[in-house]
Amino acid sequence: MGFDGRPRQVEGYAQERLGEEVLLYHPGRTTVLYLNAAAHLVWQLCDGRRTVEDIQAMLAAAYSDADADVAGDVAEALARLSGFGAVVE
Amino acid sequence: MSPATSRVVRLGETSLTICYDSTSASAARIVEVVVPGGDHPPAAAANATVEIDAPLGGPVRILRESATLYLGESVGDAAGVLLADITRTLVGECRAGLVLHAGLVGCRGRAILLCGGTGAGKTTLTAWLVRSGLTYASDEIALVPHGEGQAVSYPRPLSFKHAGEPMLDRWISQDIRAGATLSTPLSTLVPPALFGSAAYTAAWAPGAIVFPVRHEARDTDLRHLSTAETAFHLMGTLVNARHLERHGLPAVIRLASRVQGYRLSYRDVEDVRPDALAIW
Repeated sequence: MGFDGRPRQVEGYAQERLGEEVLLYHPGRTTVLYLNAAAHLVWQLCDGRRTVEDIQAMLAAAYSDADADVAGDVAEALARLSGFGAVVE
Repeated sequence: MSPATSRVVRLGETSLTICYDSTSASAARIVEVVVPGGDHPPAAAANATVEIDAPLGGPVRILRESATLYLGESVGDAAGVLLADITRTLVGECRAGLVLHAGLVGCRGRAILLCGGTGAGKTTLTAWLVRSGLTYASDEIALVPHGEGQAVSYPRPLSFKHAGEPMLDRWISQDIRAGATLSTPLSTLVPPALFGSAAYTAAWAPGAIVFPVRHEARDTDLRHLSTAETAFHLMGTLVNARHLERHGLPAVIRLASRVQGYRLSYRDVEDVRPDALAIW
């Protein structure tokens, strides 16, 4: 599913931080989602107010690597978070 | 059923007694293939009993208490039903630690866990490593008990899905397999002794956690995983999550924190060097 609005976190999810990485889980489920540092940042920015473009801009500022495909990384992270049920529009 | 012999198989706190008539060639063959290596000491409780009844000239029947699990003419089909029931019984109720969908081999006194879901190539990789000198414990299930526990499993054959049989043919000729293996509807059950040494009741401290992936287009590659990546993949192979505190996540993180995880990509399993996995 592609996002074109303002993604927001679904309530009830918790996280285990392991260094810069995170395991996202829901207490009622047996599965977890792995988030690297960038994907975790995407998750944190899904507050229902920021647009996808806002999130892309903030990640681009945070990661100044000119070769980085920020738009692609954000889209992939949102797709994984959405597939896990942790983010909706 | 006349003169009954029994064999006990155990995982953690759960054990299962298999009763059979040792004078019945069919029953003895099923037990020798499905539960190789003799008895495990029984657990203190939670025992269940399965009976194999296979009179000369009659059908094979497998009974669980009063329920018939299998009735038919095929020794191989009966073996498949027995193996599935043993696995379901031992794994389904186990609360003694993390039960992982994993092959388990021993190397220099430590365990290598080969974790992955159905079709990940666990059996083929396990067989190759045992053929290369490591010690077999399981191709399917490993228990890492709570605390700093040592990894264990229970006696079981290698179970080659029929799709994986070309590799089996490469390693063990049909002549040698005849009479030693059993074919079920899903797989061929192969005694580990045909590949090398086995230690069914061994307990080894985990030395490495490996997640194998077969790729047609990739050369053999072993990549370090972070603790978070290792824990994530372990959760995907955890069989008894519903019995564990917070679905096993704290225990999985502890295991991933003390044992290095690796992603193993390979095209041909024979390119995998056992010593490359024994990094501790």
